[in-house]
Amino acid sequence: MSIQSTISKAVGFLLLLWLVASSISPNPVDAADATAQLVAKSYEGAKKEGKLVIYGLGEPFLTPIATTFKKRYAGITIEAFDEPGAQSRERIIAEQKTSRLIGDIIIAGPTNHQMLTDLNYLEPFKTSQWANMIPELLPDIPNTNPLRASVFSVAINSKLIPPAEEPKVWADLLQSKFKGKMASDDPRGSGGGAGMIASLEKAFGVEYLHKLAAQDIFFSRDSGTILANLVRGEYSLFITASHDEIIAARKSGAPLKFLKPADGVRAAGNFQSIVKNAPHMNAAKLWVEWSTSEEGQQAFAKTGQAAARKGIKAGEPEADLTGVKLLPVVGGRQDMNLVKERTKRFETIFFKKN
Amino acid sequence: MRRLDLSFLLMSLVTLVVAFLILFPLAMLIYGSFWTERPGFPGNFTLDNYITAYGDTDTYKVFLNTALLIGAKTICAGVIALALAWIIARTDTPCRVMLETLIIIPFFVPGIMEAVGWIMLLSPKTGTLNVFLREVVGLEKSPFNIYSLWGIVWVMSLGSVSFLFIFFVTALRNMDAALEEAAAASGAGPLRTAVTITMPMIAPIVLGASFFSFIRAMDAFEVPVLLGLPAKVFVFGNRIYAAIEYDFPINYGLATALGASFFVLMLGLLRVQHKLLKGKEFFVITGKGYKPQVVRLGRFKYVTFAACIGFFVVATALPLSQVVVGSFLRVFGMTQWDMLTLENYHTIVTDPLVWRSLTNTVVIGGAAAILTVLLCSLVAYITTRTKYAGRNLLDLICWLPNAIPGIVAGVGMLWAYIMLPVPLFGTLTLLVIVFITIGLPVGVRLMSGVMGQLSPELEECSMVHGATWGQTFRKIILPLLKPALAAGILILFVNFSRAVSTTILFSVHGTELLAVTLFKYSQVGTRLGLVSALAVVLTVINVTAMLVARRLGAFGRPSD
Repeated sequence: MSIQSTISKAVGFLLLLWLVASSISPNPVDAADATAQLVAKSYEGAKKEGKLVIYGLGEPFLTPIATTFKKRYAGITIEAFDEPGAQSRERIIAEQKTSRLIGDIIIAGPTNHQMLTDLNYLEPFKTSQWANMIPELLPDIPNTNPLRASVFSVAINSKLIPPAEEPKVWADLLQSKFKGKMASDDPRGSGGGAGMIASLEKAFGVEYLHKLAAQDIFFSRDSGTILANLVRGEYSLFITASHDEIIAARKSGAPLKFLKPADGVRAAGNFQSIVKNAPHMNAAKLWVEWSTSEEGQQAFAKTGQAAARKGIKAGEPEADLTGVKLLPVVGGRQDMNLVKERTKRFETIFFKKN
Repeated sequence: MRRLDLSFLLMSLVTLVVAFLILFPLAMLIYGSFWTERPGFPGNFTLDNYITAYGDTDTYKVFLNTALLIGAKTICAGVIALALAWIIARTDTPCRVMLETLIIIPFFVPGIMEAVGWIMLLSPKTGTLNVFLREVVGLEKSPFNIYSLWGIVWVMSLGSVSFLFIFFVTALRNMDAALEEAAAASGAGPLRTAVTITMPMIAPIVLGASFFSFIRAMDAFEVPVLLGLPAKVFVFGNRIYAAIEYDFPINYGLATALGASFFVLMLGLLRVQHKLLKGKEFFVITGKGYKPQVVRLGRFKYVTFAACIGFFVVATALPLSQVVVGSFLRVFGMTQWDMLTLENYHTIVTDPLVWRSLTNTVVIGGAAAILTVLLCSLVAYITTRTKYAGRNLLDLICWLPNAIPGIVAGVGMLWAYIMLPVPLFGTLTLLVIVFITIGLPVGVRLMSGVMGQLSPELEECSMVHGATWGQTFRKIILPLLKPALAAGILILFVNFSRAVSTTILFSVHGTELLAVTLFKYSQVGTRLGLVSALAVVLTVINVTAMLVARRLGAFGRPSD
């Protein structure tokens, strides 16, 4: 074989490789064009639809976010319905079963999206912004898109715990001075509190939970009374606090401080999906594209929510994850199937031993 | 003969409507308890739900706790309610109109806010009353802890008194005085007359209402969840709640299987009630005039006045003050001058969701209350006044919604109406249907109680004088029932305006209800101030409705 033929074969092979590669990952310019086309086409359709119904988004976030969206896409009204994810999920099941479709978008935790996917009640749609999102906050559930993150950690009443006494790592919570002074969300079932305790179990082992249980924790399913009692001083620490609740309370003047222990906080992705055969399908696609875009994510960040997109500056210190270690997040399909088992374990550890 | 056929047709139609409203969703629940998936979804027949529910020894501990809780609560609330009702309806205690209004107020306050109010008062370390007793009175330790079994009994008892009081005061006010006068003429004192004559005469209503209150308490989950969880006290309400809230996916089958024990318990209690009242007929409103006798208490009337005021202070003023103050605070719980704000009320005025919820509640709740009372009047007439073959069955069917806790009943209705080919889901019409269904047990009990007090001699007399059935109903029965109808509409409206567990799944975009919106806002930690403001608004609406109903003749008008 001559050198010339070898070179021409190599060039041919490289050309083929380039062709294959370019067909797999399209030229960024083409991708941007495709996104622009999708957005333009969706906007045209959305204007005719006139509105978008979202399950799982409420005040104080809704108004500022909807205003920014409306500035960009005039003629589309957002109607949102705030409720726990499980209720949105049941509502969508009922709507799909009766074909009386009302909601377009569901915003909820992974378990609810997983269940709706299993029932084939979600529209296959993937945002074009996928590659720009933080990998740890991407859903591993089909037909589900990223949106934002919820940060969970310890919140304290700063009037009762001076800076020198603040817990610096999670093991500090086991000190005797904190006994009888901690409150937590009920760790059974799914939800923020349960996810936080599950993360602690995964990071520090079940023994840590047994020691935590011995600290005589006050459990409740009602974060309203937990926060009210925290500011009044009934207890001093809330160990499964969600960052957005603490932001709102701090801004209103409550003496609350959101701590970020050196060994990690929990940042869990909060996802969104388009409901199958959504009545405002174009508006729904437009929303998913916009809410994951830089402008949309900045709008979310400005309200104090933690963005799921790379390079978005946090609007509030509680949501800032720069340089913060993250606890392992219990999620994904396999872990979700263990919720029942986990609930039984947590019930024994926290509710039956004492 | 033709009229008889028409009556028979009407009675059969009423029976069919009631049977459809109640039995169809119930059948879906029973089906669901034996099914591995939701009804309508592919699955298999299973007994696992029953094995899980009753194979766990914890279930029996929960039953024991529940019996203790509900027994204590029903007795406490029943005794207090009866005493207060007697004071208002049958004595010359001063300012009875005002006192009655004050006693009823807790009935209008959303249950969750009553519990929140008591948490603020009796939390072990920072509860306002505990702090007062430690720092002002000088006690070493806080005497009260709301997070306990007795804390739950306390809050639930106070919440039930007003509900029972409404039934009792109406019955006492509608009583014939002849027997009491005879007792007095025979030398019996006021107390003896009350115990030996008055109380036995209203026994059917006392037992019926207490029974209903007992079952409502079994169903209640808000207070046990809020107060029981921190104390690790588990009762039936939070056990069912756990099956729905903690299991993944939601274990409706287990919840339904647990709810089945309600059914058995209810049938048992119903039998006890029937045995207790067997052969006893109490026609307290007869053709001889029924102006109730007023017992002159002398100087003792100031003691009864003070007792009523005391009840109002403890049951209403103390917890409600926490809610009212909280509604003016930027951060609920931070009672400081610099925290005062009108922002929560401003949000109510400007929030379109709140306005939509408010309109839906008033329109749908009001329409449903009127329709329910009309249907219940017909049912009560059939079951107490006719020889219709299916009357006992009809009476039993109307009780069945009590067999299943509200949250599970809601699921049954959801499944049932999803399966119907008529597209009802997401409509206001379906909410009216749901309200009527959940309102039937209270409505029928209320109307039957009053109808049972009307002596048939009134109708017989009317008929003998040539009046038709329609004329008799319009000119004799309806005027006599007017206060009860108005009271029924009000009680049902208030019940509907507070209903969360059953209606939450039907409240979609455009059909939101105020209680559901309130519940959803309460789940957001920082919105307790707004929830308090909403609770205050809801209470004001309900109290206004009560005052209007009173002007229309509900509860009668005690002369002051």
